[in-house]
Amino acid sequence: LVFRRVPAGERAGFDTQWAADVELSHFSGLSREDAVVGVGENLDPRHLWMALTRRDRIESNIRQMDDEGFFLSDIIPAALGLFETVRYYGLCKGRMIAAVEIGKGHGELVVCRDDRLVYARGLEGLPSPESEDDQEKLLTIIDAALDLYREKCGSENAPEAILLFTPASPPGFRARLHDRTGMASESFTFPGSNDPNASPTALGLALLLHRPVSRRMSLLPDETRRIVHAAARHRLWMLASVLLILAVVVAGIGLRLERARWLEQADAWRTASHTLEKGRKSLHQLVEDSARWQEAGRILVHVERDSVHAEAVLEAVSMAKHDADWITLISDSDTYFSSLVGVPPPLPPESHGTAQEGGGARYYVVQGYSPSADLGTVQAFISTLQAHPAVRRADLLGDDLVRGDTLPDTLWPGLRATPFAVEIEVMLP
Amino acid sequence: MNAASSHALSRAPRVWLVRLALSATVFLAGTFLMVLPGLSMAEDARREAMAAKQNYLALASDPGLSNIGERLEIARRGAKDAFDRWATRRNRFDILPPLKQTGGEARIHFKIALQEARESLQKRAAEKGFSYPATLGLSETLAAEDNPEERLRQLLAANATLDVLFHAEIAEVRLLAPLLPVTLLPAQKTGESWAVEYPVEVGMVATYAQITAVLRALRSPTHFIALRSFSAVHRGTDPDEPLDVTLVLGFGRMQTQMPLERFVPGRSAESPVLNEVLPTYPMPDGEFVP
Repeated sequence: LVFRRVPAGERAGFDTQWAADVELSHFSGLSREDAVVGVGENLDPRHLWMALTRRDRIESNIRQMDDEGFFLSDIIPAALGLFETVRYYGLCKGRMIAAVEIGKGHGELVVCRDDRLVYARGLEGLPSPESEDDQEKLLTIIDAALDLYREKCGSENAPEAILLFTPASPPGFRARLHDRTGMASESFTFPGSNDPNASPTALGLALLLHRPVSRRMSLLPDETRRIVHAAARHRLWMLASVLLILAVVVAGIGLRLERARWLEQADAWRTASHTLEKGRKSLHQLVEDSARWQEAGRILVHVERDSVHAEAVLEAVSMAKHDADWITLISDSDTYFSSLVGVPPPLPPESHGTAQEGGGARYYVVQGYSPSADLGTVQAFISTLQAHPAVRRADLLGDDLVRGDTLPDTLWPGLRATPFAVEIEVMLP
Repeated sequence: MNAASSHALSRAPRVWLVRLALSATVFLAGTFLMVLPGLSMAEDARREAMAAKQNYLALASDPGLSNIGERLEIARRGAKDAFDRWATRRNRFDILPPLKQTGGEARIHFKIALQEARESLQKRAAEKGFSYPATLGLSETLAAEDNPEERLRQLLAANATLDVLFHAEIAEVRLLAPLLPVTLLPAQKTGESWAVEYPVEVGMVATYAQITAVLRALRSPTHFIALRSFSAVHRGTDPDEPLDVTLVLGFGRMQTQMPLERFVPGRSAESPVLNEVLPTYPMPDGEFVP
C-alpha cells in the first residue's frame, strides 16, 4: 500500500487514476512484472492512496478460492481492514495513533487520525513474541516501520499512542514497546467478544465489503473486477427474476379475477335485462288477462240484465199506457221478428259473447190498438215511455216491419180502433 | 483477461447465467401462458359486460318499461279486480249442480231421475192445484246416439225452471221444453268454450204480477238465470185476463276447464313467468270446483 503526497498546486483537478497509472508503469518498469493497482477513496486530497501488487499473486489467490468453492467478492489491502476497524470504533478520533496487529508471521501497521489514514505498512516475517529474542526482533520490526513513517511524515506528526492488537501479549512486552517507541501502549477489546484471536483486520475487511464498490479500494484487475461485481449482483438478478415471475403470476391471477368480475357484471346486466323483459311480458299478460276477465264479466252482466230489461219494459209500458189503449203484445225484438210470435227463435248451437253489440241495449216491441184515429194517445204513450229512466228511445215501428199476423183483429169486430206497434230501446245505466 | 482469470471466474457466471436463463424461461412461459391469454379473456369478458349493459340501457330507455314495478302493481290490482268481478258473476251463473258420479250407468240414472222428477212434479202440482206438463217436456226414450249426461242436465234445467214457476205461483203451464244446450264462446272467437247453457222453453198463462215475479226470481245475490226470449200476448178483450207468455230461460254450467282462468297465478302452472313476478291471487270463496 503506497501513497504519494499531492503538491498543493496540483490538488485542484488532480486525476488520481492517471497518477496511479504512472505509479503502475513506474513499478512495472522497475520490477519487470505485471502488476495490479488499486486506487483508494480520496478522503484526504493531500495524498494519493493506492495499492500495488503482482498480478500473478492476485490470480493465484482467485484460483485458490475458486478451487475451494468460495465466491470471490473482492481483494482489498489488509491494512485498510485494520484502519476501518480503528475508525469504526472511534479509536483515533481527535488524536493521532498507530495501530498494530500482530498475526502469525504477518502483521499490519497503520497510522491514522480521525477519518484520515496517514500511513500504512505491512509487517512481514513477524516472530511469535514468546522468547526475549523474538520480542526484541518484533520490537525492531515495529520500530523500523515507525521510523519509515517518521522519515516520510516528520517526527512532529508522531502518533500519541500505539494500539496493539495481538492474541497473546507476553508480560512486559508493552512496557518494552513503550521504551522503544516512546509512545504509550494501549490495548482494545472488542465489545461483546472474549475471543483473543478476533482479528481487527478481518473485521474491517468485512465492514468494507458493505460499502459500495466505488467507495472501496480493490486490487482486482479491472476486467476481473467488472465480472466479479456483475456476478456478485446475480442475487439481485435472481431476486429481480423471482419478482418478475411473481409479477407474472399475480398479473395472471389478477387478469382472471378481472375476467370473473366482468363476467359477473355481464350476468348481472343480463339478469336485469331478463327481469325487465319478464316485467314487460307480465305487464302484457296482465293487461290481456284483465281484458279477458272484464269482457267475460261484461258478457255475464249482459246475460243477467236480460230479465232486468224485461221487467223494466213491463213497468214502463204499464205506467205509460193510456187507459183507452189496449196492449196486446210485448216481446223482445228477436222473438217478435222470428217467424211466429209465441215461438222463440231457435238458439244457435254456439253463442259468442256480444257484450259490445248495441252497447248493451235491448230492443222490445209493444203492439196494441188505439181508439183514436189520430194516434194522440199513442204519442202520449211514447212520450211517457221516453221519460222512463230505462228507456233510451221509443218510437213507432216501421210500418213495413209490423207483423200483421200478430194483430188479433178478430177480437175487435165492432170497434173503430187503430193498430200501432212501438219499438223500445232499453238500456239500464 | 488472461487464461488464469478466465478459469478462476468461470464457475460463478456460469451458475449465474443458468439461473438467469431459467428465470427468463419461466418468466416468458408465464407471460405467454398466463398473462397474454388472461389479457385476451379479460378483454372479451369486458366487452361482453359492456354489450349486456348496453342492452339493458336500451331496454331501460324504453318508455314502455319505465316505472315497470309500479305499472305492474297497478296492472296486477286491475287484473285482480277484473278477475274477482268475473269470478263472482261466474259463480252466480254456474247454477246447475254437478252430476253425481254415474259410473258408466248414466242411462239408467237418467230414466230413474226423470221418473222421480215427474212424480215429484205431479205431487207438487196436485198440492197447489196447478196444471203443468206431466212429462216435463222430456221423452223417456233414450236413443243410442243420445247423450245421457246431456239429458240429465236438461232434466236438471227443467227442474230448476219448475222451481222458478212454483215460486211465482204460476198456475198454468202449457209448455215446458228443454232445448238443446248452447255452448258459450269468448268474444275473441278463440274456439275455447267456457260455459254451456241449457235453455228451457216455457209457455204459461200469467198475470202481469206473476210475470214480474218470474222475472225477479231469475236473479238473486246468489244466482241468475238468462232470459233468452220473452213475449207476452193478450188475446182476449178483458183487461184483467191473464196473458199468454212464452219464455226461454238459460241455465249456466261452467266448463270443466276454464280457459278464462288458466292464467290466474297460483291456480295454474301454465304461466310460470307471471307466477314468478306476481304474488298469488286470492281465489274467491265459493263452491266452484271444476
